[in-house]
Amino acid sequence: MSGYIEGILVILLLNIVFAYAVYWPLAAGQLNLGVAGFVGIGAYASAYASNEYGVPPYLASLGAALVTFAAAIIIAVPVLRTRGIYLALATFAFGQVLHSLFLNLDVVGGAAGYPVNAYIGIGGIATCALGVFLVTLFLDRTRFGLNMVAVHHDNAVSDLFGINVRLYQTLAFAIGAGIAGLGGGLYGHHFSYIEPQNYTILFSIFVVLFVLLGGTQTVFGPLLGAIFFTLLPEALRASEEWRYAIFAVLIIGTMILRPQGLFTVHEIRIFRRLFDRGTPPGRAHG
Amino acid sequence: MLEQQLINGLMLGGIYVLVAVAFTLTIGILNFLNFSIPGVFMLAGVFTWVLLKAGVHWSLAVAGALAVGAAASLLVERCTYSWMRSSDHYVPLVSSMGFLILFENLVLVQWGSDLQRVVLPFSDLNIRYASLVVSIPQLLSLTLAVCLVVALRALLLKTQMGRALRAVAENATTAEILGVGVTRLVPAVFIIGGLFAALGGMLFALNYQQVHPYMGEEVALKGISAMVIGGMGNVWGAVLGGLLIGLTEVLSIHFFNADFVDFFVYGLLLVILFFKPTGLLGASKIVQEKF
Amino acid sequence: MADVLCLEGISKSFGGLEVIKNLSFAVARGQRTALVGPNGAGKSTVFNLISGVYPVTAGRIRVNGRDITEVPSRLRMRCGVSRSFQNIRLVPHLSVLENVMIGQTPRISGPADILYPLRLVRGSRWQREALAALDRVGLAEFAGSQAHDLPYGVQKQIEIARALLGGADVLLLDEPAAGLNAQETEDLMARLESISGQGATIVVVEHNMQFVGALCGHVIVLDFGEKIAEGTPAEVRREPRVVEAYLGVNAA
Repeated sequence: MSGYIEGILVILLLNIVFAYAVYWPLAAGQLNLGVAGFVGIGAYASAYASNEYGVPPYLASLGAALVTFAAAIIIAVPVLRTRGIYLALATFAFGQVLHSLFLNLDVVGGAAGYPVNAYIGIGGIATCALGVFLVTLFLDRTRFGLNMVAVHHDNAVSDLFGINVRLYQTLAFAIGAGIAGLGGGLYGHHFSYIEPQNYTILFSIFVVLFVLLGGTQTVFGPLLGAIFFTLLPEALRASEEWRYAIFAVLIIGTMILRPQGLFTVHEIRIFRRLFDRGTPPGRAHG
Repeated sequence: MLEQQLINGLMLGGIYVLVAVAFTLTIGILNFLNFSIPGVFMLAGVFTWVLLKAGVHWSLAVAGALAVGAAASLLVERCTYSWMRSSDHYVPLVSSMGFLILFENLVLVQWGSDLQRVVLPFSDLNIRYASLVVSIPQLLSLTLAVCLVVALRALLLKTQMGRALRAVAENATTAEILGVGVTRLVPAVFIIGGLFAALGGMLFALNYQQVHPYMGEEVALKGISAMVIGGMGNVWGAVLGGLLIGLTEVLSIHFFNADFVDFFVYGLLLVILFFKPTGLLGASKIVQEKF
Repeated sequence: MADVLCLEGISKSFGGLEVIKNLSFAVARGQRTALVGPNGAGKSTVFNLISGVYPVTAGRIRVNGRDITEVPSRLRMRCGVSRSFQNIRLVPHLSVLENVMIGQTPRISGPADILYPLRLVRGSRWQREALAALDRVGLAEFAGSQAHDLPYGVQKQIEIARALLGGADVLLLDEPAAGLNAQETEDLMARLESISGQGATIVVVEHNMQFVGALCGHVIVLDFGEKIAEGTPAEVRREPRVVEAYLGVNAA
């Protein structure tokens, strides 16, 4: 595999992981604009663990996922008291505060950045990305996933049908954060260097945008969004600046024409009909 | 010196006030968090530089930059708000983020990412009192900000258009049924908001004599905080919030260092969101429920 | 205790406005009861109070003899009351079967049920049960359709199937016949009779008085939040206050 292709694949796999970090809260109706902050926590925590205590990089990354998951549960208490625009703003502010903390944490290099000694190759990243996708896919097919859709769509009715709305919202927020932490750990250990400038609001905005471009009605939307975002500019051979401009036009157009994103329940049903004729009633899943 | 820092903070706050007013207009009247405002801010700043560099007279450069800001804002309205009615609440927010990225990268493609120096047509204009220095452009922008806010208040309270806008803010559907021309008012809101943001960007370029493609993020994202801290949808809240953020910023630099600015500014925003989400000059309960 | 649902002196105020005034009534097991009254009489508010959407200002609510006044709304279905809604409250992009399965939530017990991949496994216990509930309201053929593709009347009935699945004793149905044509209304009536024949207690809010007269043996008339009459359909029709409330003073 040429270095060029491997480089793109790594970016693609990491973008897939970040996509699901944003997808989970969105699946419960929360727009998390602070995902970069969670990625940063994961990156710094795992790098510190592997640098200072010699924790194996994979273990450190998985540990980072647990740390961010736990941190998010604590943060969710005040953050989820807000909703709608206020929730988006609270996560935004939270991300900004974390960014400035990273800038000032001298123990991990502050603004100068932090080198990471241990290394995770493309194989490890691919395994983790696949794992994240499969776990998300599985959970979506369970009652947990079904109830998550219900909570997103209608809090009041979900509550009356016995769904603990607050618990589901907290878990969606925390699972997303955990995935972000894992992605951060993988990122740091692959590129061997992390710096606060990686984890800005623009990072969060880009991930949110490509996830919504793909669509959040199904678990395949974020995957498609990440592929689109990573590979389309390569295919177009566009320069760095033009690729973002093109992407921006794409997202604006998508929101006008198909606000549910490119890949929705409708497409799944078309595929199903193509491959699975003669479906008995009650077998069509969304 | 603390006194000088306080003055600088207030001057900086004047810029935040303008941006916060731009945010609060679309939030308060249309319930739409317009993330393209940093982009509009930056476009106006960059065009001020471009026009001045091209040798255009400064008054024309100012007018041109404002026109670009208003036009950009109108473009955002055409492509986001007019389509938002039936969608999820975050769809227009997402589109406006798309515009922020579009504006930034178009400027990047055209003029690169370097920090550009704005050469002013006038020489150093400072008022010195004892050991304190107040720059005239800065003083002018703070005065201008406050005057414009007063004018905007008058517009909202006294004129026919203002009454219609407040009706839309209360309930867009009802207002439409009662014969308010919502479809004509919405572009007006975006143009006014765009002008405020553009003015902020232009004054920033003149005061700090530098522009670059990402200048909007640093400043305008603090404008969001200013708006929330003061109270979303409340014009005086935007003023209070803007000045508070300006002061918080210079005081963090004074007592800590520049890297702590975001920590305190956004920390303040978080604290407000958690404990008094309606902001210091909290809007009424009805407005709050709209979000 | 024969009364499965019992309201004792219920009052509800919003701000200073009292929308339900000292309302008491009891519904016996298996009974079919109608809550009728002019628009704004407070019928849907009564449903919202029983299902816990908002707390009562005064009074007690009992289900199967148990006081549920303080039980949070989330747990009330487990106590035996389930409901449908005046406006359609289904998830539009989910299939009918998935929408109905959301109604099973009150009966799940433990992580194994929550993590059971019921949207993946064909013919699981949960799916069979949901299909059976759809069959009971005559909608099994729509199980695979997306909810928002179906006509209004069908969607209303899906809500009934969803309410059935919680295993509740009392079904609160908010205008189940709204938007149905004559034939569909007749079918609905037959189904509700069969559902109640199997032991469920049904309370409906309904404007169609013919429907109420044919389905319900027990009618409670509300006006401005007060009970102004209670009895069989024939009895309440004779009450002067009911005639007055419906037709205005002069007609009486």
